[in-house]
Amino acid sequence: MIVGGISFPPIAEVLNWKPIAFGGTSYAFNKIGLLTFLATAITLGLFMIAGRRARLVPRGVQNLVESSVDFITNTIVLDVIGQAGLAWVPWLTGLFFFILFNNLFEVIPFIQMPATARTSVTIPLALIVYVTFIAVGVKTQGARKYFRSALVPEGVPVALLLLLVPIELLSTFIVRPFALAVRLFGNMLAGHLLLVTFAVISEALFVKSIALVILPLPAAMLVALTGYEIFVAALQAFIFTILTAVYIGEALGGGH
Amino acid sequence: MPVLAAVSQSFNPILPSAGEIIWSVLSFAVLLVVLVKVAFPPVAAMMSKRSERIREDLEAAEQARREAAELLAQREEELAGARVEAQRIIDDARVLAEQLKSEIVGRGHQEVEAYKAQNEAHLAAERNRVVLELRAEVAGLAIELASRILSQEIEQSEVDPLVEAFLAEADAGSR
Repeated sequence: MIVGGISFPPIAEVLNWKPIAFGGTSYAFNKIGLLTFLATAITLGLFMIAGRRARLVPRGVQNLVESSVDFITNTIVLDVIGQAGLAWVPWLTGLFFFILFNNLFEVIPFIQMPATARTSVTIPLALIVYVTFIAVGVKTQGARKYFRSALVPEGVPVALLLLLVPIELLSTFIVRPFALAVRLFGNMLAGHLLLVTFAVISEALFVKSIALVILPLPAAMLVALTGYEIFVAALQAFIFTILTAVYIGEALGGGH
Repeated sequence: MPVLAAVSQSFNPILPSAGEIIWSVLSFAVLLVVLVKVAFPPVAAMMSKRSERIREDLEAAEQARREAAELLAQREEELAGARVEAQRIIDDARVLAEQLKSEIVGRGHQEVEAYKAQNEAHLAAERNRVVLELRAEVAGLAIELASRILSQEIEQSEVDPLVEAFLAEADAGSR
């Protein structure tokens, strides 16, 4: 597509990745699959290094990993769930790092694609969280008590329940997974498209010598947005993880 | 946004694709299983070991501080006790010295008095003895003189030198 003399790639070109393996099958393996495996490998690699070279006074990778675990333990688990949530620290740590690295691929040179800009990644993640918190609630409180506490707010007149129960049903069991998936997907896709747009503009202006005078603006925007996207990558990983902790905390018996 | 308008006919960017779902779920599952079972425990163990170590060190430091304080208090108490004891010993010694001094001085006085009395008694006895001796001597001389006078009738003028000689003799005898 050509706008103002600059050729923008169609969105399919930015998001639709050709299969690397198993092409033509329903389990085609493309760049997104590779990136998710890369995120897994990086996370496990960091933890393996940190665990294997564990010293009493942490340095380097061990320091980074332990600070992250400490952050997730204190800021997410203890603040949101409390002591009962400590068993969930490894799970939430895995979730956080998986999303963080899949987000950060957006700004890594030669990769420049957040795997989380695909609903193929965010919807399964949201569904895993959804199934997990419901399972935790049913296992901890029993099915009847859990759904009752989740759907029927205490101390509310019966007449209001006619209104509130559908709202609670909608917000807890329908909107939650949808919001989790769409929030992450939307943020990362928007960031990715912004970066692509400014990169295309910068490149086009760079090629057209006459426009060189205004080159600094889109180039500077590209740099600034890259920094901003790093921040968004961390923030979205944090938001997804803390919301998961909130849902698990509620299911564990935190209630409303 | 021009890019958003350029949606390909065959590809919907919002819909997930089966292949991507399978591989992303698989990689996330692998991550969770390996992390929870293998990779996380050593890190958590190290962190809890460190916390435990720090807690132990803090407790040990607190214990050492408490012991040092107790030891200091004990030493101060002992020092104060020692000071009191030293003062008591000095006071006792002073009292003892005073006692000894007055005793020695008293005894000295007594001895001097006793010596004086003994001397006086001795002097008195000597004088008595001398008086007695003198008296016997004088009596003897008087008898001798009287017999001499009686044996020779002599003139007064002759008696006088006789008496003189007698007295001189008596004097010499009394010495």
